[in-house]
Amino acid sequence: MLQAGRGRQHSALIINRVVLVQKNSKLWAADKISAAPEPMNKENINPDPGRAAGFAEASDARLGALLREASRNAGPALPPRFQEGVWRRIEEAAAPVKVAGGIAWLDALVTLVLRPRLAMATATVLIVAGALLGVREGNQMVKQDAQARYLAVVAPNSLR
Amino acid sequence: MNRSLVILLGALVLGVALFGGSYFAGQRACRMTMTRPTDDLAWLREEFHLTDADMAHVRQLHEGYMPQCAEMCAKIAAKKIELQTALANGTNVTADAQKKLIEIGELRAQCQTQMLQHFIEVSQTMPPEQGRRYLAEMQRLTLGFHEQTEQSMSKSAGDMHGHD
Repeated sequence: MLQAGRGRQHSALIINRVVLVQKNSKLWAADKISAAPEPMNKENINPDPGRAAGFAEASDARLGALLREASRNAGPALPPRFQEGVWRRIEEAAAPVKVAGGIAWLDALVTLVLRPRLAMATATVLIVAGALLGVREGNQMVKQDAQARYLAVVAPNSLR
Repeated sequence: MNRSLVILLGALVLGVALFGGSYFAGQRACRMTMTRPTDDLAWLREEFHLTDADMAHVRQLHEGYMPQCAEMCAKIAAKKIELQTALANGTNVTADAQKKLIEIGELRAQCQTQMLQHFIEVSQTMPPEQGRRYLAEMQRLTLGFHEQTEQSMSKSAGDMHGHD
């Protein structure tokens, strides 16, 4: 309510300024001579400049009355620090949602892990590393088996 | 349970499974392709990088040594049976059993001497560096076991008897 009232007041002030500017300009005289009313546009917001002064004064009076009435009819007084609270709530709503506790890093990690390229690369690295290690270990085992086989032939257990 | 945690654990399990699967697959493939069950001397060729000519000499020596080794092993096995018979007749270590133990020891010493002689001959057919390595490895594998046992026994005996 209060903000709406302020908005209206501000609009009325702007209208008054425009009217006053037009009163002081040279175009004001030309417009006064012109018989045919011009349509309202950006430069001329009052198509009937002959009555602009009287209209503006009447508008001011009516607007002032309306504002006074609005301020009288305004609801109960706003709680203290109302505006600050409103801004705080707006900032909270606009801020990114924070996940409770230490779960945020977990979510970030999962997001990272689930990236297709990274997942494929990790899987490939794991498979290649596992296979290489397996081949290496298998090679060692083959060597040990062959060594044990040779020893069993040339040096029976009873001699060792 | 948290969804992120479940996903992460699932990914971890999948990763372990991938690694483990490829590890065992690689190991199995390697063993299947590289194992040569028919050749007892395959280890010598691989480990000491022997040529076909070297291998031919080694194989000749090996074939000459095997009957001697088998003969000595048969003698030792026969003496062991005699020892068991001698020990089975009484509760004490008889003179006959003691004699059999000494004979077994002598046979083992002869057999080990023969074996070491064979290793030396084989090492001489190899390139010098490989020959030295082979001899050292065979001594470690055949005599080192006894040395370790004797060392551990003497250490524990020393602890038990309190020799200063």
